[in-house]
Amino acid sequence: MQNKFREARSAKIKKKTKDRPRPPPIGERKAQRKRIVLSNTNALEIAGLEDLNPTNMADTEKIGQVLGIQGDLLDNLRDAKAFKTTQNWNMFRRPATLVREETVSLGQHVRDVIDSQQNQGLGAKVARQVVSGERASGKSIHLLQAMSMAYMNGWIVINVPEGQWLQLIHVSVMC
Amino acid sequence: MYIQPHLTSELLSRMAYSNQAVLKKLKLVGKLPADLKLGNNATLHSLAMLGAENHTLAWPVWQTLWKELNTRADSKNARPSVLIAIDSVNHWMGPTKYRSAEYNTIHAQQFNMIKHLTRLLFAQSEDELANGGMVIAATSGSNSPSLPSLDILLRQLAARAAGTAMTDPNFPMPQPYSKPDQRVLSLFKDTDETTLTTLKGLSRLETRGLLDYFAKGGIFKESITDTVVGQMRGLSGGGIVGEMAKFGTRTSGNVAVHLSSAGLPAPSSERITA
Repeated sequence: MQNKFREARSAKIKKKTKDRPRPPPIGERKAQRKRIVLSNTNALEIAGLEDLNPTNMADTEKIGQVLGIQGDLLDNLRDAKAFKTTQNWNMFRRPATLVREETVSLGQHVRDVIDSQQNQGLGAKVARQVVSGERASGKSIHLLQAMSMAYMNGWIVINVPEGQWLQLIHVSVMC
Repeated sequence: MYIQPHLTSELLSRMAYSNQAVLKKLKLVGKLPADLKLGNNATLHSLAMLGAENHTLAWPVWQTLWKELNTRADSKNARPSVLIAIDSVNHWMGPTKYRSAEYNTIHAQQFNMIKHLTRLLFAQSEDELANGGMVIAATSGSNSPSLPSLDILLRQLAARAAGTAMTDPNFPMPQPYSKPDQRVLSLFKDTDETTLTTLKGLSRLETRGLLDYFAKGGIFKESITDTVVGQMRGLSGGGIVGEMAKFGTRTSGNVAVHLSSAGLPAPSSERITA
């Protein structure tokens, strides 16, 4: 009789098992964080959105207008890692950038280099520029515009998307 | 001097994939070093891919490729111009986290690739970029280490553009008794053609264009009047484009909401209607 309450039939408190969802596979979260989305089908299509092209890249009339990036450049720019995640590309139907005064002068520099290349005698010109400005003032977009101008004129583009990569301790170094 | 095999390999891979169409048309003209093995009729693309796929070959590949790109174009061999774009260049103007075998800090300019690209940005030479092109480097605003020597360099570039002579008392110089970074300051003497572009806030015209685009894209729901343009410029620190994009692309698109979130009174016309 004394053992009555210690039998297997006595009350047991069941452990609750929580259904935890599986964590996403390795690398998935980072991939989501770094994903570059260049188009949004919910955004309205903008009628008459002109593209930035070799003829209008140095046109002062275009200051203050937003010009699209040609579709065939997008893969090149993506491969060169020219787009950044902070740049609002996912809000619009297709990527476009604002033409500022500085953009037009950039286009003028590109034009000068092309002209100097065609005048073989004088030697080709090289434009060297440091871009500065406060946070979010459009410096990386300025570089992106320079790159799209270079691609559409058949130049070779070498891009360093983040200078800090070459300076942090994460990667191999040899003497 | 140090080399960075993996990073060089990544740079070659970005270059090979993004310029595929152009590089595939360019034939090798010079002789390859013995350790790089490519078949006959190799193109610059296959050379770049060799380095992109194997980091141990990346540095010799980069050197060979750079020599090839700088071969002067002639009737037989076309060689296009080159654009070099560098973002967050300020990280290259100071000490790194790396240590040498003697446990001394390594300066960023002691890395071969960084040194090479910085030289292209600041110094002209006859043999390099023979077919013209552009070297453009942007500093970083949000992730910028404190580097007084770089600040002086940028101020010196600005002063030169404004026509201030180096002998002028107002020409920016390092503080007396400070220890400026000579690797950075000496860059100024290397060239007189590097220009400084300082990006400021957007003008009214540019602001209107940008807001117009936001409105046409369906995310900015105000009608764009002179008042709204002025308000948005004011709210975004005088037309700082990134800040304006944040305000302009918020779903409500209502100026009064932004003003109240910034702790400012709503514009008078809306206060009357509310």
